Amino acid sequence: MLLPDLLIEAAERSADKLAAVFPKGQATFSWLERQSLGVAARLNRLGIGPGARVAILCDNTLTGLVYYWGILRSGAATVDLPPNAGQAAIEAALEESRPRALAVEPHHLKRILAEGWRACPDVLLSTAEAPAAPGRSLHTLEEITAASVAEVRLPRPDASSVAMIIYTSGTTGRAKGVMLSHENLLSNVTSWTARLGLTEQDSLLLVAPLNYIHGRIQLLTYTKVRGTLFFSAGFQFPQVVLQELARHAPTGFSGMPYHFSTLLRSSKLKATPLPRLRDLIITGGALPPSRLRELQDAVPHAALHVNYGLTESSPRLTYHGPSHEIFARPTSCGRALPGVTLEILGEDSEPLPPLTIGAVVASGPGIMKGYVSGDERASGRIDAQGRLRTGDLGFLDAEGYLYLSGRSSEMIKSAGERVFPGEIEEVLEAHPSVSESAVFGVPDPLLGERIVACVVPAPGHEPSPQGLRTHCLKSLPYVRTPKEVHIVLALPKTSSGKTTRNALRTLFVQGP
Amino acid sequence: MDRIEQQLLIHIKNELVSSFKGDLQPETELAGIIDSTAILELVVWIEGSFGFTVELDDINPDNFGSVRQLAQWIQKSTESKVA
Repeated sequence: MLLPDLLIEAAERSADKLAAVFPKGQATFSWLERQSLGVAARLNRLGIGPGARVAILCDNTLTGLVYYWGILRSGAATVDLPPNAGQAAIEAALEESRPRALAVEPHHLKRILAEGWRACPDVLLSTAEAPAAPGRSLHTLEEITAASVAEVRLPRPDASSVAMIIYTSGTTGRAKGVMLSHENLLSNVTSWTARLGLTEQDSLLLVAPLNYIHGRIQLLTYTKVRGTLFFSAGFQFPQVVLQELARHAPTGFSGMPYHFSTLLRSSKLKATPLPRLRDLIITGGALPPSRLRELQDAVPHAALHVNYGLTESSPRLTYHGPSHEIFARPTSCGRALPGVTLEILGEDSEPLPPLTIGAVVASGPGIMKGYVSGDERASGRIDAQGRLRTGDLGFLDAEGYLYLSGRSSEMIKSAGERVFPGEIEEVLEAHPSVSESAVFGVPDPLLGERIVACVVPAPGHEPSPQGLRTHCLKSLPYVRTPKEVHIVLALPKTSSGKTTRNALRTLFVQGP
Repeated sequence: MDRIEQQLLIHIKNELVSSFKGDLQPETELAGIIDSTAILELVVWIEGSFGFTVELDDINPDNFGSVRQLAQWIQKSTESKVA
């Protein structure tokens, strides 16, 4: 079985059912299936199929969804690009992954042409509103789907081949392209739907962007069960998200801890009856126990579900729930999903006994094929036994419940985003007034962690914190920009001369 | 009103929006430019700068659609407070 078979099967069994509802536009399974076939046939005619890659630069829209399924049906792999990233970051991903074509919405294409991107592929897939792109071959969805599709025999790649590439923050400051196969993702979707007991009666309101694994895995999950996916207009307005929950009345809502904290703080969640809402899925981190209780009290009839995972593991590794299970062990993120093995290793990679903190390592059918850059083993992300080093520290109890206690890498998790200090330090140090910098996260009740930067001025310069923040905004989205910049005389170093961000963090959290 | 627009433009440009999103004008649509964490910070700044408490229902795409819409809503909110 391949990923696009999920859509084909849904269209056969629930043809007229709504597959996706966007703020602008909606589609049934059968309509999506026909449209995606048209796209696949066009790609096929252009000689794009198994082994090739096609990038997607789209917001959560129907256009982006049609192209996603069309690319998968052609046998090519999708490359999801983050539309809110800067030109340099997206071009680096394009240069590394070398897609044959780019599916792009007209307003993003305008930006590409205005900024003169060099890494943009020659074949463009867009819509009729797309601007003229001289020297490139532009295909529009309207024209593609108007063309009659004769019986096409689309090639079927191997289930172990790469289906999707998702770019996610990397330790070096450069985003990593995570390659996931059809098998990787299908195994995850299958074990998750079984664990939650999802059926075609289920539906979900999604706030995550589709270029994140969180968005893609929910799309695949609800296509498998033939449930409707409602797309939020965005999380900028929490009270509007609540109104969407009331209006669409989905059976499920999934978000990061940040989304739930924000709904509790900045919407009238407690005062709004949501009788159909049955599943609240907390993904990508833990909510503090008091916040879990607050959430349960706000939506008393809904079951809470917690899961932990990484893009590199397709993504879910654990499941914790429903509510009574969670409240029995509120600080755990649950037990391994079927097929997943979790191990806790010591400093010499020796297995540690229960209740002993060590490095969390995972193996199973969802572990990625590798990074596009090919350095997953050299970097130690995948070890000699093929296991994924999650970068998290934690322990297992005697019954196999996982408890996370920190990170071995210096990743910061802020508002649900994975942020590595290196990417921000690189930007800060590109400023002429900065000699060196150290970036770290400190606990924050809403964001999870708040990004803090300490900066040593270059000789003869007096940088202002405000000026440096504005400088960061030139290359980083707001969510990745330091919320505090402190000018310091020197940074703490180890004996080998490396900056210790941990020492700084401790100083900031506990005081001198 | 122009003064409120100018204040907003300066604050949003310096503190909240990346310059790679293009030139920010009073009528530029803010959707897709300002993320959710930035909106929450903007609300705190508006409360501090203009001296009124922002109601949850007021944080919506109509009031936060553009700098112009923001300025009109702030003007109305401060007037009703004085009245």
